[in-house]
Amino acid sequence: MKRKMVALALTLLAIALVGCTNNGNSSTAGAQSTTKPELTVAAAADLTKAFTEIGKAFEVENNCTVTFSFGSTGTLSEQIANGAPFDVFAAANESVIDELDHNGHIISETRSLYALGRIGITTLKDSTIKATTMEELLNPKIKKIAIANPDHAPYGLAAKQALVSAGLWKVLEPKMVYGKNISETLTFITTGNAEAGFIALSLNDEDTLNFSLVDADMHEPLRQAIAVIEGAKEEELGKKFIEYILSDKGQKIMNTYGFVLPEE
Amino acid sequence: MGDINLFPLYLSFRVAITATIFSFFIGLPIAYFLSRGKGKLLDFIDTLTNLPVVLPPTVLGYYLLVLLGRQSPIGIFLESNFNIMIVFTPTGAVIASAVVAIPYLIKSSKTAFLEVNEDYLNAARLLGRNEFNIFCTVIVPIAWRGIAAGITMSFVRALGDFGTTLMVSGSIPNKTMTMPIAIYDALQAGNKIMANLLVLIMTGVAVVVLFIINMLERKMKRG
Repeated sequence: MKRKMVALALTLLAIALVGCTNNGNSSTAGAQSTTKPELTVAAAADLTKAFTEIGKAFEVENNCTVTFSFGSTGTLSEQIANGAPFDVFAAANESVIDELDHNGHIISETRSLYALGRIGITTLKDSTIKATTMEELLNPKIKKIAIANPDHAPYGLAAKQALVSAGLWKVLEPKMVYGKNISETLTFITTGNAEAGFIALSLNDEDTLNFSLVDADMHEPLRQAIAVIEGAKEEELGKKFIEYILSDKGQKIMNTYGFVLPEE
Repeated sequence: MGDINLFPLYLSFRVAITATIFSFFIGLPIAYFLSRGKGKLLDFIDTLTNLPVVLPPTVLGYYLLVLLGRQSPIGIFLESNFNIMIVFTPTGAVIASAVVAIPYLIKSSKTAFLEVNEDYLNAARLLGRNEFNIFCTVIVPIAWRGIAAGITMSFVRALGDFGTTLMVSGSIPNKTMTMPIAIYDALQAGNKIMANLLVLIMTGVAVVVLFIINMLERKMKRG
């Protein structure tokens, strides 16, 4: 008798627990499917500030939630090629999008250019060492210059190209240190371990950094492309998101973070 | 793309061996004291030595960048007096790998020290040996296998370190770019052939090292 009671109690407990979890699931699932769809966007690290703001505006306008996964373009593209469940991918260069397109990982007709990146020379506001032109980087007080790895980071490649066109790469190469992406490059500068460096205009923080734009003619244009990923759960919403970025409202926000729309 | 630069492999070995030697001489005394005593302070040190296992490598790297970097008191002192830089040099890579490797050596050696029968130690004390003598001639010979396992693990860990080294070393080709960083770069650049080759070399090397050490351990067991 006692054993039966225990069994009954356990069964009831089990039912109660299952019931609870079921309830929990159905309520969130219901909320998602009826009221708020969720858009997942993979975006290059240089977009962190601009896209966070755009995401908020887009959420309000389309009554949805937007989740961002910021990372290096190379890593994100590798993840997408291996089936990561993103809806939209905004890369820091167009060649990555082209390669994904070539292998059938994105919906070809959604591919669009959405921004032109700019780089600049940056130093710490607190530091006594200043550099506004590439020639000033020759200053012997500048012992280390941080750039993103030019082998795979678009902004690093642009920095290297600019130095090569200025005829300074060979001289300055011994001073170079390489961040794995543009955010780590910024860490080298903000921690004072490199006196100067090249970062994306979009990551400039006026309160702590001195920033001088490098002439856009000095490097190949940083054409950034975006696309909806093949098999995306929120394909329509993804297309809307891209339209929004290309719209006047979206471009206005992009402009404030130093991105301009490339002319085709 | 055909030519592979084997410098990262050479550098990784140099860094890992140096880091292991440092871990050994710093870690072994720590392990000994942790195994001998009890108390709040030792518990605290014990926790501290295990921290590098738990913390994400990037966090560790950031700590090192700030603690030993060019704006830290140590960094400023070394640079202004001796014109020495720790970060962005192979020395920085050695320190980074030693920090991630040392907990494995300490943990394994500590466990081995704790298993040494107290009777042997007391017998040696009765015979008038001092503690240092006992450590060298009684404890280490008995605990040898645990120490060897610790050395192996810390060596392999140092050889494979990526995140911490990357933050501290600045991945300068032919200067501070170790094997794991070279693999990451090749993967990021979409250079699959190069990446696969480096991965195979790295795996092969790791397997051979582990195999040799296992053999040595087995021989040691047989006496």
